[in-house]
Amino acid sequence: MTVSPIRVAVLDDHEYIVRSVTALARASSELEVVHAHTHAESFHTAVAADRPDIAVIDLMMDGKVTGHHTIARLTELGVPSIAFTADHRRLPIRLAMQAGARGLVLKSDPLDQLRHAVVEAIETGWAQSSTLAAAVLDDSERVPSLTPQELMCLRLASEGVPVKAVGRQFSPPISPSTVKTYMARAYEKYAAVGRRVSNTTQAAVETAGDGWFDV
Amino acid sequence: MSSGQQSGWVTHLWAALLSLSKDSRHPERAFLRLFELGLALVALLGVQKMGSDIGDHGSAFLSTGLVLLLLAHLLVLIECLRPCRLPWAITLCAMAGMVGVVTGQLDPGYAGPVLWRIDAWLGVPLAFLAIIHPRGLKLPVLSITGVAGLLVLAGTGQLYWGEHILATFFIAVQLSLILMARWFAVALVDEHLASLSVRRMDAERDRSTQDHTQALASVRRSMHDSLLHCLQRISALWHSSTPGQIRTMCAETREQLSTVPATPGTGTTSAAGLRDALQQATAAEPCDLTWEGNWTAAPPLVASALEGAVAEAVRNVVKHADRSSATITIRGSAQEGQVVVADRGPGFDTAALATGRSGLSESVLGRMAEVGGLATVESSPAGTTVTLAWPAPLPHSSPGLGRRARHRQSLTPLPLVVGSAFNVGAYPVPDPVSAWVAWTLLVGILALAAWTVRRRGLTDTEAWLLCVIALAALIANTFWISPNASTGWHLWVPSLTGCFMFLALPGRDTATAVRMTALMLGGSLTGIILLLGPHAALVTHFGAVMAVLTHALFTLVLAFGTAGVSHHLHVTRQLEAAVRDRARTAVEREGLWQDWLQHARALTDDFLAAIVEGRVDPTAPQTRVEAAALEARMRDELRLWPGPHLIAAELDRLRRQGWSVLLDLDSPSPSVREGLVAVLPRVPAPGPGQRMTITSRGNDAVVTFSDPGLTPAQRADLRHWVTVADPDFTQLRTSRTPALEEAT
Repeated sequence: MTVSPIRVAVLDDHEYIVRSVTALARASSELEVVHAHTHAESFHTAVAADRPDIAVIDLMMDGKVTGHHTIARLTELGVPSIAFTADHRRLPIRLAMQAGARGLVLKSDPLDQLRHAVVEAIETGWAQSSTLAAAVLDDSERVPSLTPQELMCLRLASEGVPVKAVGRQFSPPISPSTVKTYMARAYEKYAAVGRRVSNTTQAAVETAGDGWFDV
Repeated sequence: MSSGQQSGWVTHLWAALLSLSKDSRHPERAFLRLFELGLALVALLGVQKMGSDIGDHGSAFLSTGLVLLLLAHLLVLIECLRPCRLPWAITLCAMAGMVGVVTGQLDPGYAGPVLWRIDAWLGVPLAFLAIIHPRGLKLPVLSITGVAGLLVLAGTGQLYWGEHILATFFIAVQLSLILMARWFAVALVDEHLASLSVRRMDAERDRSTQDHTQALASVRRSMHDSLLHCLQRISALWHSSTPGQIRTMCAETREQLSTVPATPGTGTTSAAGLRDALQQATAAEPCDLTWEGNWTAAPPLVASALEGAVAEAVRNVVKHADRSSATITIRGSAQEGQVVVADRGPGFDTAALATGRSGLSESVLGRMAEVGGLATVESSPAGTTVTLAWPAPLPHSSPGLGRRARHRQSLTPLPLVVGSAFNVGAYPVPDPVSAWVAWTLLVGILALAAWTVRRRGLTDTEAWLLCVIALAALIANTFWISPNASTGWHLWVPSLTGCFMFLALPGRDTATAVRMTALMLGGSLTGIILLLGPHAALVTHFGAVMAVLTHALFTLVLAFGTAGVSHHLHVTRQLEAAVRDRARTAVEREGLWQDWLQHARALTDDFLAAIVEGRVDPTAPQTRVEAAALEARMRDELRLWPGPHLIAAELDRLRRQGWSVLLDLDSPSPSVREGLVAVLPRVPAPGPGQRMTITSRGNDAVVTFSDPGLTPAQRADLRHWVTVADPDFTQLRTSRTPALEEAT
């Protein structure tokens, strides 16, 4: 009995990766790449017209963390997706999982891991490619949930904007004491996930390291 | 107890245990140590039991056989405690002992009953060969000898076959259980190690980038220690160096700028310990140091990192404290250590450390991070304390299990399930039908739990439920026991409850796991006391309590011993990786250094030469101003380097114009550089109090002028880039290219 191959859609901003994945699928009888795109919009149009069994989504497109939006749209369509990334920062991975990704494959993993993960995700509903991927996933849970306000305060303060002027960048403006409250809350949130920060600079370094400023 | 303290003593314990092993760098090998120690304990008990058996028989052959078996136990004990290539000796001793025991009983002169105790005689040597030396011919040879002995004795017709085959089978079950558990534990350690290494994101970067980064870091550190330090001391107004001292310092700095320094890191800890090395490293600093303690067993690489870090911390004391004196406290063992540099100076802002505004971040934090250590700086008006700890404390880690570990965990109880089925079938129980029904029910629940573990892991509630079911089974079992007959006890029940614990406990946090164990032990003991009385609980049926205790301890050690093993391996591997990295970066480092030194000489040599040759007065105000400007310039150059020098030159111009500039980016991308090259020449002269912060977001440079912001006249030339114009600050983003703006 021949089993029909799993129909896979691939989205990655690097054509090289898209082609490599396609070639990889061609070499195996289990997978067939039906959509291969380097732009999100054309990808969505193609996927909406002809739904694949599963999608492999790059989390970082053109220097911006946008993969989770794509994954969320696919989840709404009922297409499972696997996050495929070279970016180990906590936030992009956390967002992808929250958007409904069914697994994680790192670009640093051995070649065959992607194929295994796709097959496993189809069979069991969940797959991570390697021990390291599991650890990255585990680590991504240590991201505090910062509100847009807290994030904006941290970003502006780290850029050298005086605290007294940060509040005026909000619409409607907020008072400096509210700005300080937001900052204090952000510190508390970091402390709650076991990453103590004690000043704006440290908080901004952590926040940038998580990937918040690229979302 | 805090988790930090907990991991501390667990690590100590493991370090002590693992240090006895020859090669503890691999999870397989490290875990073997645990089994070796366990087996040594069992062998010790076996020796005691066999010793009491020897004299009971009239046959010389039989006694010699037993003595040889006892010797085999002793050899196992020795080999487990300190491996010294005895496996064949153990095998031969056990074989000869077996032959002696069998021959002795076949002797027509032997009058006693026919004896066969495969579990007591061969259990320990077989377990030793199966677990510690599974490869080669030893295990099959000894197993065949054992079976042959059984067959020969069974041939005499007086031996009950079934019972002994069962005993052999149960040894096999226990061995399989231990091997499966080891298989599970190795997966746990692997996963834990991966979760530790993921926190060192550097390690995940492309290798060449990493080499480059490390070489860069070494240049930055070294420059901070020499050139920047020298310029800072000239520029510091309150600093009381004499012109002579400054000239000597400048001459030394010029010397340092003329040659690439030798590769650090081979390490040269003298037998006298770290203290001597540190005293030498800090001897040149004009600072009164009080020394306390020593660390004799510091790994060489760590010692060399500490020399650099302590020297910089002391330089920092000289720079920031008006009375230069500090106390250095050293303590440590082979596995960890700490050096604390404390002064009573005015302190400085630790917030500046995070972005590298202070040399402390590169020089001290970087050095320690490179060897897997941690530096913390606490500053207050009362003084500054720099704590250098190695290794860095374990990062937070969730107790949950990964997929591979869960997969193995779900399969590990299999031997016990098979064993329990044989128990139900083989031993007479009062009501076999209800026993099989109960067995099937419990195994059904177990299979469901194992499936859940494999798929997603158990929640805390589900794990508690499993414990309660297991406890209920144990108590029900107590009901079935006939208080008068020893045959009433259903042996299979403790085996199955062991399986339940094995699925429930790993993956919980320590407190929950201990509570679960307490529930099982306390519950079953209370059940027996209430139903059968204290005598039954503590004497006649104590074995039942012990069975539960053994399973609980086995599970706890497996689940939580892994954390200690992982940490030990992590530290060892980190140190090895640091040594490898040093070797790899050496070549890269040489090239980078040559480039940098040439550039640094071009910028600073004239100034330093003028001081050394006495053409300028090093204490004159204009010299101090020039030194401050040069220091800021060199700091920028280091942050922007390698790359074109245009930006640093432009920043230098702006500083000399009166701007206070904070450059908060390291090795920016080409697009950020392009943006800065376009914007900086158009920055106007500063107004009173105005300062400038440069950061980057993605591909853009972000320049913020603040306190107050730029006036409309000031920002006229920059208007195409301005994103925010507030009275208190003005912000530019370089992505808004002027050409495009003007065209639209």
